[in-house]
Amino acid sequence: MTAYIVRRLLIGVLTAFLVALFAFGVVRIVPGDALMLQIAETSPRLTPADLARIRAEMGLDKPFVPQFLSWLGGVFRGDLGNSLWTGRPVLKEIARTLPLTLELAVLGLVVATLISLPIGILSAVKRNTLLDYALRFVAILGLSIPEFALAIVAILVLSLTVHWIPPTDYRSLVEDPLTNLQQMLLPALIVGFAMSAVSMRMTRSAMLEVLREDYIRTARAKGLPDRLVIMRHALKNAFIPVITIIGLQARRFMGATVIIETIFALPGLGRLTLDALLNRDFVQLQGNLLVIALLVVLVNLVVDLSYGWLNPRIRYG
Amino acid sequence: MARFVRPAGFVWVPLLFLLVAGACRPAQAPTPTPTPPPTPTAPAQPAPTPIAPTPTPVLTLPGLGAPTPTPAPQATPVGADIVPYAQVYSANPPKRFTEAEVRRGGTFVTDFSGDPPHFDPDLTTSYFMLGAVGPVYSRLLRPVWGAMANPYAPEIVPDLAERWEASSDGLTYTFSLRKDVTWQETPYYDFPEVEGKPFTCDDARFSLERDAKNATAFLVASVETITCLDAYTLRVTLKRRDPGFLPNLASSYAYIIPKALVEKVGDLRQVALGTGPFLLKEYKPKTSITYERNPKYFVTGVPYLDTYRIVIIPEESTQVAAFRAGQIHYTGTNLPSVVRDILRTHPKTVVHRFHIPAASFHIAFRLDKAPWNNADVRRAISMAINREEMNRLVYGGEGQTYNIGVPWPSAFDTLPPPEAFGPYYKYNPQGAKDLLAKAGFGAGLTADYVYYAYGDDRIQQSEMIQQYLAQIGVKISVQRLDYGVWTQQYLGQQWKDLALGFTVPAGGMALGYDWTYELMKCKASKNTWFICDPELDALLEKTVTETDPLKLKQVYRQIWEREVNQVYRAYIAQEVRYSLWHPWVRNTQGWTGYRFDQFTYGGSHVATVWLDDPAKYR
Repeated sequence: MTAYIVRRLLIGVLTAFLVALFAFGVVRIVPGDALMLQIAETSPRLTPADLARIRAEMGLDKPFVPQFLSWLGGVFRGDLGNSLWTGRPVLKEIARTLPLTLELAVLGLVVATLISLPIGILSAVKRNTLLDYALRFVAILGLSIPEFALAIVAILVLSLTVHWIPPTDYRSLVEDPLTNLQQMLLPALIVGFAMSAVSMRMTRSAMLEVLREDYIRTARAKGLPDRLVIMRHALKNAFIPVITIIGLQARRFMGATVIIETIFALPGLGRLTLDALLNRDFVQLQGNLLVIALLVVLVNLVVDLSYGWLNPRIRYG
Repeated sequence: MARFVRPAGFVWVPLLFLLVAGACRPAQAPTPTPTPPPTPTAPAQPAPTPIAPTPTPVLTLPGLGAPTPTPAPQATPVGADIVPYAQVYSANPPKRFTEAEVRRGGTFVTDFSGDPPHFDPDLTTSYFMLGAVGPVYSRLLRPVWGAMANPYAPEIVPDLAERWEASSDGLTYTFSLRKDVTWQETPYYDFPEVEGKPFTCDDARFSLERDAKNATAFLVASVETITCLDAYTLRVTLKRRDPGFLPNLASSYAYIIPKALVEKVGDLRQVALGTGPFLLKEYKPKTSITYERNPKYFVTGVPYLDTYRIVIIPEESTQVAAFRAGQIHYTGTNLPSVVRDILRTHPKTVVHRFHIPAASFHIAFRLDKAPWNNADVRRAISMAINREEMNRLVYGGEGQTYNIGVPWPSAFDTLPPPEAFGPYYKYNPQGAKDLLAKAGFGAGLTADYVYYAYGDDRIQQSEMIQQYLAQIGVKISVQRLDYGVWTQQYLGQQWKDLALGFTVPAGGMALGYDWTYELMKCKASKNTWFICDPELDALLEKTVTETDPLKLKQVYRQIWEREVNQVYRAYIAQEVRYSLWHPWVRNTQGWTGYRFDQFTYGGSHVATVWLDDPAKYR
C-alpha cells in the first residue's frame, strides 16, 4: 500500500512537471506580452528604447531555456517567482486564492452528492416509471446547460425579482461566515447541479447493474427491508464507478470555477488563472497550472485509495 | 454514507434559512452615517463660476423622454448634480446645493472590471492603476472637480502648486508650491520617515525626474531641467514650446509621490501614500479597494465621504445586477438597452449620456504601404460605409453617426453637422467604386482586417464593414484577435492592411494637442497609422507656436478638414457613453471621455461626492 502511494505520488509529480513544461512553452508561443497589455489601455508615448528597457526589467527579454531553468530551480526551492503583472509572489497569490476555490469545490461536491445520489438511486429503483423519466430529464438538463448561462440567468432573475444578488465584495469564511455563505451558496448550487448530472446518471446505471446481482436477490430473500438492501448492499458496491466519476470531474470542476468565479466576482484560483492567461502573466500562469495539476493528481489518488475502503477485496500492487 | 449526509444536513438547514432571510431583505445600499462637519467650514474649492454650456447635439433616448434641462445658475452654489455639457435623464430633477445641505459621511461604492496591476503610478499607465491611486495622490495641477467641469474645454486649477508662471517664450515654468501639505498619516502603514512629514519641492522634483525614467516618460519629454529654487519653488525649463506640458501635469499620470518612501521601499507597487483626499485602507485583490477619508487633506472641508470603495466585478451583467441590488452606487455602459432595462426597475436612476469630443474607433489603414497610401483608396473605403445604418443597427440610432479623431471643440463651437464631413463621409457606393477605378483598382482588391472585440458592437461593426466593402469589390479577410495579440499587432504597428483601430489621446487634458500633434505628426511615437503628410505637419507645428486662441482654432479647423479630406482614418458610427448612479449620490460626474478625472481614470473628484438620505428618493 505504502509503495503504491509513493509510486503514485512520484508519477503525479512527473505529470505535474510535464504539465508545467507544457504550460511554460505554450504560453510563450502566444504573441503578446504583459508590458504591451499594461500600456494598451492608455497607450502613452513610449519609444522603442523605453519599451525595450521596461521589458528587460520585467525579464521578458531572456531566451526560453534560461527562463525555464531559472524557474525550475525556484520551484525546487519553493519559490514560484513573482507575477509579471502585480510583482507579488506567485505562491502567495495561490495561497490567497486557493482556499476559496477549495471551498467552492467542497460545497459544489456536497450539492452534487446531495442531488445525484438520492435521484440516481430513486431513478434506478423506479426504473422506467414517469418519475424515472422526469429525473433523467433533470439530469440531461444539468448536462446541457452550461454553467455560465445558468449563472448569468440566476443573477439576472434574482436582481430583477428580489433586487438581491450574492454580495460582490467577497468575505472569507473566517472573516464573515454568513456573508461568505451568501456569496458561495448560489455558485455552489450551480457548479453542483452541473456536476450532479454525470454522477446521477452513473449512480443510476451502476445501481441498475448491482440490483440485478444474485446477492441482492439473496438479501431480499432473507427478508431485509428494501431500504437496507439498497443502502447497505447495493449502494456501497455501486459506489466505485460513481467515486471514479467524481474524481474525473475534479478536472472539469477547475474549468467551471474559471467561469463561475468571474461571473460571481469571487477571487479564487480559477479567476486568477484566467486573468494570468489574458494578461500574459506567464510566471503566475505556470505556477497556477502546476498547483492545479498537483491537485487533480491528488484528488485522483484519494479516489483510487477509496476503492479499498469501499471494497476490501481490492488490493494495491 | 449516512454519517456523511446527516451532519451536512444539520449545518445546511439553518444556514439555508439565514441565507434566504438575507436574500429577502429589501435591497439597501450602504447607508451614509452622518458625521459632524469639520470646523471651520470652508468651500472645498473656489465656488465655480457658472460656465456657459457648450451646446451639444440634442438627441433623445427613445422611451426616456427628453433630457432634463440644465437649471439656471443660482447664487454661490458649491456644486450641482448635473453636467451642463451632457444630457442627464432623471426622474429627480437635478438640484444645485449649498455647503449647508451637504450630508457628510457614508460609504460610496463603485465598480471596476479589473484589478490595478500594482500601485506605482510611474511604472504602468494601466487605467485601473490610475483609478486606484487617484484618490490617494495629488498632482501639481488638476482639472476642476465636480459636476460643473467642462469636458470640452478642461479647466486646470492649482493642486499642490498654489500658482505658476510661464516665461514669455513659454520655455520656463515656475511653480509656487503649497506650504501646508503633509504626507498622509495612516494606521495602515508604518513609515515614520514619511507620514506626517511636509511635502516639499524635493518631492515634486523627484517625481518628475522619476517620470522621465519610467512608463510616464511622455509627461516630461519636452523638459530640459528641473530645479528647486527653494523648498517650495519648482522651476522647469523646456527644450521647446509644449502646449501639452501643463495639461500633462494636470492629468492623472502626473502624481506627486514621496521621495523618502521610494528611497526606503524601492518602488510603490505595494504601497500608496500620498497627499490626496483619501487614505488607502485595504486592497483585496480581485475583490475590492477601500479608502478612508484623509482628515488632514489640504483642501479644507472635503472629502465629504467617510469611505470610498471600489468593488472589482469583471462581468458586465453582474455589474448591472449589483447596481440594481444597491450593492454599488455608480456604474456605466455603452448600451442604451442596458439603460432602458435599469430604468424599468429603477426609474429614479440618474442617467448621464455623454458624447466624447473626438471619435475613437475607425478603420485604420497602413498608410506606409500601397494601396493604403493612396488617398482615393481610403476615400473609397470611407464612402462605402453606411454610418447611419450602422448607428441604427448597432446602437438603435443612439450612437454618434459622424465624428472624427480631431476633437471638434478645438475647431468649432458645436459638433459639425453631417454635411460638414464632406463627400468622403457620405454613403456613396457608386462614388466609391469610381474612386477605386480611378486609383487603378476597378477590378477590386483584397485585404486583411484585424480587430479586437472590445464589445459586441465591435463584432457587429466588423461584420458590417466586411459587407459594405464587398459591395465595392474590396474583399477583406476578417480576423478577430485575442487581446494580447491585438495589442501587440496594433500598438506594435505589426498589422498588415486594415484594422478596427482606436485612438487614445496622449495626456488627455489638452484636447486639440493631445489628439493631434502627438498622434498625427510624422514619426510621432503615438502615430500608430504612419501618417506622414508635410502639409499636415506644417499645420501641427502651428498648433505649438500659435498663441492667439482664435487663430489657433482656425488652425485646428484646417487640421479637422484635412483629416476628413485625406481620410487618414475612416471613422465609423460609434457609441455614446452612459453613466448611471442612484439619485441619492450627489455632486458626482459622469464619464466624460479622456478628462482623466472621473473614477476609472484617477478619481480624485470623489472628494466632493456626497450621499444624501436614500429615503428621500424612494
